[in-house]
Amino acid sequence: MKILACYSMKGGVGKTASAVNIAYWAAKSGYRTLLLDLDPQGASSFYFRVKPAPKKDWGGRFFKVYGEILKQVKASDFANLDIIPAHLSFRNFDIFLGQINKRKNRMLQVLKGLKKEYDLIILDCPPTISQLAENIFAAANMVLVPVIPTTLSERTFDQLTSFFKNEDYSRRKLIPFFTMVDGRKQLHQQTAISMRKRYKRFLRNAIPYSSDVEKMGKYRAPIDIFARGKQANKAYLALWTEIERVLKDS
Amino acid sequence: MMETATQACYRLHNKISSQKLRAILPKSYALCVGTGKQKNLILLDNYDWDICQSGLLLIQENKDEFQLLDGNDNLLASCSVQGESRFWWQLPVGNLADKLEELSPIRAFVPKYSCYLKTDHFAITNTDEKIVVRMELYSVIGSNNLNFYFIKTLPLRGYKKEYSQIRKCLAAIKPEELPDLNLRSLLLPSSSEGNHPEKKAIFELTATEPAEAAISRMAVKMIQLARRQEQGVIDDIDTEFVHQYRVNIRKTRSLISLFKKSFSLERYQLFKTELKSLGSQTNELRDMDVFLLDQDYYCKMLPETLWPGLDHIFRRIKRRRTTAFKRVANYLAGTAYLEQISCLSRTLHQPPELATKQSGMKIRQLAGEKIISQYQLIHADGIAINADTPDQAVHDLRIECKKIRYLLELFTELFPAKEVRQLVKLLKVLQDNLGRFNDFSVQREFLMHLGQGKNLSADQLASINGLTAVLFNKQVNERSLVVDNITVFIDESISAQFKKLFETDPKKGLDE
Repeated sequence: MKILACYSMKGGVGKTASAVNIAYWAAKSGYRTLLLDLDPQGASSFYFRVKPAPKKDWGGRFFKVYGEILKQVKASDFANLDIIPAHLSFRNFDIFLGQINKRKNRMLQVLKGLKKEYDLIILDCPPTISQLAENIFAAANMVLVPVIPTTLSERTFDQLTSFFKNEDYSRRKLIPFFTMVDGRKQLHQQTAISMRKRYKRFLRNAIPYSSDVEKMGKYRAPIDIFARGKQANKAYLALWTEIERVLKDS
Repeated sequence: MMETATQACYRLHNKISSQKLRAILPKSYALCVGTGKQKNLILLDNYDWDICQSGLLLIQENKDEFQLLDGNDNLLASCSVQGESRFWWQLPVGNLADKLEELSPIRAFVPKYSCYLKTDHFAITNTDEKIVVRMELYSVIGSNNLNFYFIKTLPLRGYKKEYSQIRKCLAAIKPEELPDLNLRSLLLPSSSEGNHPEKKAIFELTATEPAEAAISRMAVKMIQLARRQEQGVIDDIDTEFVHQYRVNIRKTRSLISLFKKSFSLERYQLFKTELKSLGSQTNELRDMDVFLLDQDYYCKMLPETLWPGLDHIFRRIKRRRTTAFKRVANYLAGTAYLEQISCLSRTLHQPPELATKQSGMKIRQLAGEKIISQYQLIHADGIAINADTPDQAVHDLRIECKKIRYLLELFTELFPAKEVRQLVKLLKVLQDNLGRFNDFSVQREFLMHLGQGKNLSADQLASINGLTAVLFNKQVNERSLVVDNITVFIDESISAQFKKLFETDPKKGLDE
């Protein structure tokens, strides 16, 4: 079982759209996949039309009771793909994690319990750098970081890399890729070139800026369902194929 | 593990439309109709249903593909077929042919049931248009004009409440719940499986039944069993039909002859003449069948240089087989045969004459005595056989062994079954040895006879002579095992067992 996190400190960079489409293609390629929506906003749960069980504050128990997670699993409309929907009480994670102890491998221990049922777990992460994020960094085999090729995004990614270095996380886990790329913008082109030079692990495939990605909210489905032949869909498939190759090599 | 509701399967009493299905769902759910699948399926099996009985299914899909499936519809082997494909050896070399060789080594697989299977997929969605339950509707449209409908509900993880709600709604159409739904449960109830033929006759004998009545009843039953093979022989489905036909006739003949004193001389003569005539009609056909079935075996016995000659011989025998088959098929379909059979059966159905002392004897006691005396006969003959005894004595012993085998098998129901089975098992070792010894000798004679025929080329003669030599060696080898096998069967402990099982205590009798 591999754990793949979709993470960025910055909001609005395409984390959820990427998590949803990558999970969709992974499941379609035969991987038994679980998408864990850790963002209390619950956007990826919304895209898959999945609602959480009306239970109070199960986020607080997340790391205590493995059985609690299993009760939250819901099948998506697609074969091989299950979801753990987001819950508002996830907002308490950080406080909770801070309270219990400083250990960073609690999440890994919990997710390991799912290895018989799933080949791949995809974490859709909230945009914070916190105790939860550190648990995610410890648990994930690969931290996928969507980066818009702009100065601000570049700066955020530099900060994340430094954080990994300072906190002694393996920087090999960090796999960035470009999203919302507008080929007509010179800034996008220049930033992309310079970042690729500095960070060799950038994925080759990038996600173009596309209204089809935005339409996911309207259709509440992965892009393949409503815009099969479109460029954005092809880009996510190509991205997944590349990720799959990296996962196999790692 | 996560607790998930399990799928549920139902048989419906009537066809159900998607409109009807939608109508029975609660208002908050919608029914989405997915794409359906349809295929033409033919269920294949041999006469004895051996494939189905071993828990597997042989399916012919869309005319040119054979699939072997296990009880959970997993594909074990498949192949595409062209032309005649009724036997494993007619299929392309591969996994399927190998598996079918095991399941049905001699018998042909024939269509048992054919249908058009339609599968409709449904998704039930909630107000978010999220799928909460899936459903599959199976329509089996049989070529026998009988249609069957089944439904399967598939739960989705995290939607247990919705699932049980929808299952409750289904109760409105009063379906019959089934433990499982797979091709086996879809096809077998629709076909005539379950009516597979009995392999061994059950006579329902009672210990005190008078011998004449019991033997007559047994003969009637065995002739019935033989007659069930007739159509298969006429249609030339496989060689096993004529073999089973002959086995039943031979058993009847042996039974009547062993118990001849239970009948008036007149009746016995009639039975003897008719049964002998019935048996002899198929002799030639069976001889050819046996030889042809062993074609590969013969090939392996000879060096490759002699194969062309052998090939010619087999073609010659195939032509002779065709002639022999036509004669048998005409005979079985003719009126003379029907008259013969009805004369036999009329006489067997007549009330017992009770003309002899033996005819009124209790069957269990009499059968026990027959078995004992037959064993004593084998014992006496067996002791006399040593390495130098002429072959004829060995052949005679084989015949006597066959008789005791028939006695043990036909009367098993009257004696402790487990012990009888053990004796039969032991006897079988000796019989197999004697049988092979006899087969080699018969085959040699057959070949020698063939070698005397006209228009034989040099390579044909060479392969005949080659085979004869190999067979002779095999026969000598088999002969060397005979004495040891006899010794085992006539051992004191076996004698004691026969006595214990079958001997009547004159004071107590065997009729309690």
